[in-house]
Amino acid sequence: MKKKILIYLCALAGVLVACDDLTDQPQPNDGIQGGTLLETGTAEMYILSEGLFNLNNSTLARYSFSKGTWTPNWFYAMNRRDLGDTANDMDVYGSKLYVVVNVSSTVEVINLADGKVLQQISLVDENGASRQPRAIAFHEGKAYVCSFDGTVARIDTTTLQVDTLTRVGRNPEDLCVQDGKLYVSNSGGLDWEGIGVDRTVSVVDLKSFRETRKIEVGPNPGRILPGPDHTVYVATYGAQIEKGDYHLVCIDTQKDEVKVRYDEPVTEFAINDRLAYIYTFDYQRQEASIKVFDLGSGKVQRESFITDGTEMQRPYSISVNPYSGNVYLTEAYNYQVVGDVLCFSPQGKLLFRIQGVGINPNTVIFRDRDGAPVSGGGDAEPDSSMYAYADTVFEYVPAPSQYMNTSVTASGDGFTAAQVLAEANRMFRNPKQCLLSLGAWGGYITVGFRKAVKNVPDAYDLKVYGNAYYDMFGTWQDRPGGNAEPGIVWVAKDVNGNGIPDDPWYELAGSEFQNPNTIRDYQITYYRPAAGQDVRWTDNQGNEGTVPRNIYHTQASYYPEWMPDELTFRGTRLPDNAVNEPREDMPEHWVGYAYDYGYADNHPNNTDGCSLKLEWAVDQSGQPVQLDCIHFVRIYTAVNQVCGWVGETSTEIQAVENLNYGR
Amino acid sequence: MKQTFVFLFLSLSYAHSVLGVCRTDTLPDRQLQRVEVYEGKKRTQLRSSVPLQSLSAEELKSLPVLQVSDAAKFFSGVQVKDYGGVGGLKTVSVRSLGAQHTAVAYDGLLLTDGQTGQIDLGKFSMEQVQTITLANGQMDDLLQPARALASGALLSLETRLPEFSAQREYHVSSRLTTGSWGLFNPSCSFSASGPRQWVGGVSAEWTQTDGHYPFDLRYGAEDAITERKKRNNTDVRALRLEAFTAKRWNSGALWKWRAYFYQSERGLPGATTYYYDHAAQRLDDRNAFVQTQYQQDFGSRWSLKASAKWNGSRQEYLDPDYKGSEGQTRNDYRQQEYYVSAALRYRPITPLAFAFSTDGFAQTMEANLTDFARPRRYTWLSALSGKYTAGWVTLNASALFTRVFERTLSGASASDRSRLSPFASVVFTPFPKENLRLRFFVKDIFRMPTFNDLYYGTVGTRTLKPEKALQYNAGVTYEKAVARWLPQLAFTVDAYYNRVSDKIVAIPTKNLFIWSMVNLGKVDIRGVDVTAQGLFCLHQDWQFRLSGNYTYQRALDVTSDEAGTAESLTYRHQIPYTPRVYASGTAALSTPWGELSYALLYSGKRYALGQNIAANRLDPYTDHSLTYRYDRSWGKHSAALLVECLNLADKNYEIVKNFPMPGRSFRVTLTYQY
Repeated sequence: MKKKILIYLCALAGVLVACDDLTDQPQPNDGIQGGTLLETGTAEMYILSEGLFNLNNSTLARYSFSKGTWTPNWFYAMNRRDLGDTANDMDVYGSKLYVVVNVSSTVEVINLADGKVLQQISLVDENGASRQPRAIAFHEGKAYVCSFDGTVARIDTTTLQVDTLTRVGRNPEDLCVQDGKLYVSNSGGLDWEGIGVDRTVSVVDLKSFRETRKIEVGPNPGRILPGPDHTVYVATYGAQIEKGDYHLVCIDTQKDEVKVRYDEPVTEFAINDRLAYIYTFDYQRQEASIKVFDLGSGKVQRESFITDGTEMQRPYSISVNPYSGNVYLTEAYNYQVVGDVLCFSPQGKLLFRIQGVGINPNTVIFRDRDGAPVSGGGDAEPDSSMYAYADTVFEYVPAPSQYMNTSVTASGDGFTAAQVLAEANRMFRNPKQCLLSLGAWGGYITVGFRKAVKNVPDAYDLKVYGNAYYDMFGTWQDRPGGNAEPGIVWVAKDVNGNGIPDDPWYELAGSEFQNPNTIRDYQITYYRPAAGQDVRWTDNQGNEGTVPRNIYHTQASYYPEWMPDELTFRGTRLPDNAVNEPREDMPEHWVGYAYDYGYADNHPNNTDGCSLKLEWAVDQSGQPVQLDCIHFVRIYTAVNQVCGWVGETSTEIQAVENLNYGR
Repeated sequence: MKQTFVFLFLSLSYAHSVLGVCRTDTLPDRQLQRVEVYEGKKRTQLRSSVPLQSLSAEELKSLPVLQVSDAAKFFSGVQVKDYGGVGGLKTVSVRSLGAQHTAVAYDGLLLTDGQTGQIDLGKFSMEQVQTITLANGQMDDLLQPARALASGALLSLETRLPEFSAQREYHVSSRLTTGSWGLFNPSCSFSASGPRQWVGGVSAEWTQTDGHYPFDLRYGAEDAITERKKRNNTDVRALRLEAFTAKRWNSGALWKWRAYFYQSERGLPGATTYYYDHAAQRLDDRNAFVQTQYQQDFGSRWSLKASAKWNGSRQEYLDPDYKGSEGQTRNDYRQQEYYVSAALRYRPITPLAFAFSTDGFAQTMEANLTDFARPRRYTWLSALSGKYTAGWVTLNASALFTRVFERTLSGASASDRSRLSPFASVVFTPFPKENLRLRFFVKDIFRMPTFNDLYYGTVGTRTLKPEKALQYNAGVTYEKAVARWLPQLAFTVDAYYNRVSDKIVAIPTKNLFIWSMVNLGKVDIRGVDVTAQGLFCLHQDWQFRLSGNYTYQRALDVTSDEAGTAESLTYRHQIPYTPRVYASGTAALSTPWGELSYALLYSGKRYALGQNIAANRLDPYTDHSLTYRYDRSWGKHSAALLVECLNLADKNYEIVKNFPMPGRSFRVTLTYQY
């Protein structure tokens, strides 16, 4: 009898378990779809998500731009344990990543070389109660962590121990270092019901590690960041957060007093050079907005940062990738689902979105060097399939550009021509991480392959990767358009076998080759401007114009500093491809239409539109030529147009691939 | 009819053991009585037009039950949210409607908490509880307060009225339970009969535990590093005092009074935060109520039931680690409720009955929070119901009218509300000779926003509408005495569809600091509840009882699928903390040397948040318990020994994420009764 019952019970249990048809749904986007994300000069990105209180679900995700790998729960993958509850902040110092976990009351120090935790530092008081660490900053070998109990802990970055603590104001929310001093925003947020919030920023002298003064900045200061020209900017949130009495306050760090208090409501902000990207929320009107604020003039430069109509539910953090200037916003939805990271160009156009990064993503940081592998082992050597890509840059001569003298043009302040070429070569060797802008019309790059690219009849032979994409709203004209910046592609065979591109060039005739508006033998000359001036040009058609400066790029000059005072380019000019199609929400909405075929940076990388056939090659007289193979490729920007606030059209190149490699 | 009902009810309350049914050597009349009692109880469940489940004192004896919530886990269609340990919060949600849609009645009148709208079942002891009954929708009984109709489900805790005779003028009962982690739980009660058919009694109970149970803390997913830890700050000390008195008239009229006092202090262990196990928050509770109920029949056609209650509660919360400048936070919440009710039943002709009941109650809440609204809520409920009983069909219908007046002493108040809530049910007995019944009910009900929903800090939203719950149910019940060795076999199968709309949920505004309550959610619930019971007579004093419950439930969030919104990411996902499959079972073997029983709980996987993704998953769990009970009586004395082994498999499963349940533990109980 009992046996029978046992059998019945087992059978019953079996049925019950079998009926549980509740299955885990995939995350909204497990990993990155559509291949590679592009970021200039950026090797990897870490995204910290705080999760929800009491759920121990803080996560740290990593995306490697150089390898295209996405690891949503990277900390767990490397350490076989989770971060814990409510990770609030993180930053990199040296080769280590420091993560501040508020409820778990820890600072996790991760060795970026292998992803392993070197030390877990517990921040509790004498009674064992949490200090509630909130934020971290670094200076000269020390990490500083402010905690809600009114302390700043100093951690030695070699011993990874707290060496001492100092007291600041009530419930410090954030801290930063400027001019060798520590600035701590004392929110006093937990006293809003009682004696009222704090109103000060503590200045801590880093030598004595003592608070030297308190600067009155206004009620409930929060996010605090170093600004340009000896300043610190702090957001204040008012005595009652829901009243919306928010301000941005600038502190002069030489006098340690408030310089100016902007009547600009700020919830979160990020600073890139002289621009602040500000997220605000008007509680009375229940409206959110993201603005661009010029710290130099103290004025809002653009009321609405996002220009392509991308909608966000609840932005949770804002940061700027220092290597590219792109702006990263995190989307928290309703704070209870996994959020996204969105990358916008400085012009406010969505470049890519990573879905499902974690619940409440609050910090995004970037590195220009690759750190840890995804799982175990060191960084793998590039395998031989990498030789499918052109890996030598022979010439890189960008025309004037709003990206000039930045990493997008392999340059920087005081770079020589040799340095630029070396940097371009370094970038180009990593086809997943590179993005080189060729600047306005005529700017070019010449690259070479290790092995010849064969001409396979009726097949695509070359693929040129750029950053073209189709407009997410569609276009008025019934053809693909968005951000197409077509460049003409030339090819050459190493006829003399010397490994140098000194051989005859052949143009790949694209779809506009016969277009009557295409101008052959076009010639343009650019002139070095005075600092802060537009770049003037004249052409051989009797026109003149400028590559105008804009508000997104504030470097001194848009002219390649390492080049002579005049720059002349010759080639074919394609008809302008961009059209202003104003929309209600975007009075100036530029759509760059893609030509049918045959150009670089003209169609998105995941389409055939960026693949090319060697049989399209023509000689100087326009006659088709039959090439059995080629070794060199030259690409130059082929339209000469300026699209209003978006600026000049310039071809961008990520990589050039031999589609017949190994065939 | 009425007399029989009362007789059955009283005998039920007084029956010592229903397990004598297999015996043939006992006194025939006693045996008869017991069989009737047993069948009477089951019949109520099987004849009910709404799904009705109950556990009698006898069944409760063989279940591992310390608190009311432990018993509720053995009902089908129920999710008990249990934060673990003796002191952990325990609430019950029926058929995924949410805990606020479940009303809990103690001795006929509701327990209430206007602040949270839900009752912590962990704070109620089973000591005085004779039966525990769960009704979906509402009970068939017409003569009841209007408030008993005003919820999606009703969990009733019925107490006993002792019987006295010339030979027995008083009862004494004492009990001591002790067990793992410092559990010390003595109780005693005394009741006596007085002159003029007055009876009365008092009872007292003390519960104390340190609750430092060990558990495995796993730092992440399945293959994560695991550490053995102990729960902290889990101590509970609770005192319950209760007194009742009742007078019965020869006419059958009955007047009952009950006074209840409960006081507890406990630590709040908090979630098992990784790398940080300090916990020091305290919660002190005090709750008292006095209630009275008078019932009388006027002739054979009219019956009256009048009730009144006062309830007061105070809760003090202390966080000694708060980082405000005072170094701690101390919250103090006080609530009161005054309640009156009258119900009248009229039976013009035999198959037909009507009832009208009307209730009024006032609820107030005070708190030491800045600018607290100090709400006062006045509710007036009236219900008209009718019942028609023919041989093969029973029809039930009622309409409940609710009028709520909202006032505050400080600041704006929420809007007044009024609503009409209909209910209808029908039971068919298609075959006169078979105990097969088909039943259907539909009920449209709502719950008011709680004081927290409306007035709590910046979160509360005064414009909230009531949350609506529409329920449909269709079911079959069947019962048969199969053979002498199988005198009872019964099962019920009910399929249901519920729709919760205007669900009150907390969402953040676009400012990340400020959350607010809104009527946003929609939940679509389709499920099947199955229950089965069998009684096997193996040999004279040997019998075996088997019962099982099974629930399959698709409770899907259907709020919105608009692309790009948070809601679209949880669209058609199972709502949090709701398993698709839930089952419980018991097997009890009684022998001349005592009774051995086994109890099983099984829950399928659940999700801690609205997204059904692996990171939010709570794994399925199974909980096995064994109970051994030995009863002995001599003369007017009786004694019992109960040994319980709980959670045999020693798995620290989680019902609520990061609140692990205790592992294997033991309890021993000694009872003496006179």
